[in-house]
Amino acid sequence: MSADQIGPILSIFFVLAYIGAVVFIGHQKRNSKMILITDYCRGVHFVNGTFDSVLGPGSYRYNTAKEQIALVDMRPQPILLERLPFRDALLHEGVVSIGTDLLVRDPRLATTALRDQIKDAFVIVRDTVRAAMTRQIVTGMDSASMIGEVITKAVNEELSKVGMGISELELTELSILIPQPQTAAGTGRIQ
Amino acid sequence: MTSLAALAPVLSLAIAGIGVIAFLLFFQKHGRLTTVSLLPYQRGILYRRGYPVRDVGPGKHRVWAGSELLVHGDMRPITVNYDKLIVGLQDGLAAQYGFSANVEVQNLRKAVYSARNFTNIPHATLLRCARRCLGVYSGKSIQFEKEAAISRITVEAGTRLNKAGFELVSFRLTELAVGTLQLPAMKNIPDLPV
Repeated sequence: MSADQIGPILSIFFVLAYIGAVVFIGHQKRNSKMILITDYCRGVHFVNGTFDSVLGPGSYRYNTAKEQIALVDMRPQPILLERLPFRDALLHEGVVSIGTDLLVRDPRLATTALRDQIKDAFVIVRDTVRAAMTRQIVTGMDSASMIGEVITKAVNEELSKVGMGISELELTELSILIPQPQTAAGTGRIQ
Repeated sequence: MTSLAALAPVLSLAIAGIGVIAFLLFFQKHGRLTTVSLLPYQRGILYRRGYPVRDVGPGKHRVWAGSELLVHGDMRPITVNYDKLIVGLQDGLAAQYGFSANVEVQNLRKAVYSARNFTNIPHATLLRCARRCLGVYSGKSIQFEKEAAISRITVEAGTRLNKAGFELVSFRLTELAVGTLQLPAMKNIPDLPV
């Protein structure tokens, strides 16, 4: 075959190939989505409704028809439990205040076990603190470090079931309320 | 020579087609080009492929949506203001206090990594420090050592805020009263996440 004969055939072949490539790229683009996962996030990748992997930082393109990526923020979230009332092992009433940071330890578990990671974990922390305090004998701020360790351990144990955890727990207040006769002059009642 | 001349249109078609496909693939890989405008009081961090590449200031910035992300933050001062807070003191009495503070973002990159929402940090830090520092006093000593308590809170909160990329501009104790504490009162204090 001469070049004059091959030329038109090749042209048709190329045109068809280009149309095919453009259609293929267009189809892929329509069914796909790009997602950027920053270094403080992780992506929980689901394929056909089942867990596939945890994605690290980077840029990903995925098929929206069969894949989902749930972004999980791994940065700490400060929470405060202010004046939480409790009754200790000796049935003394008291209040405890706590400041701590909530963290996601297992992105997969946190995504599948909690609807709202912060709000749901906060409730778990509050209930666990109250439960832990009922098992302690509180004497005041002098027992704060020991109680802090106990609370940290108990809360981390509970939160690990849902892929969360706490760090840098600080007991900002710990007092036992013992009824006192009102003899102090110049002091009023605080409601 | 004749055969090459005859194939020239085919070759130019092939080159043009490859160019078009390369162009499409480039957009497929990088996403689309968008413009992000930052206002004079905003600063941003440009992330490329998930990692921070540079800090950007106010103005117009071109960003490839899909492969780049501009995380921006408000640099205006954050006002922290709380009233009628209660803390138990060492002698069984309680103090009712309130404070007002001003905090500025000094290092946006540090601030962004400090919390999911970095504007929560000044609130949480000041509440923690104020409660912790006031709780170590007794009913009598807190009234005489008010200034010492303020400076103690300022130093402690300032150090913690600096670590998170903030600067404590001002701190003022707006209210401080000592009294006895009634049990039902503590149940009225809501314990919500910051």
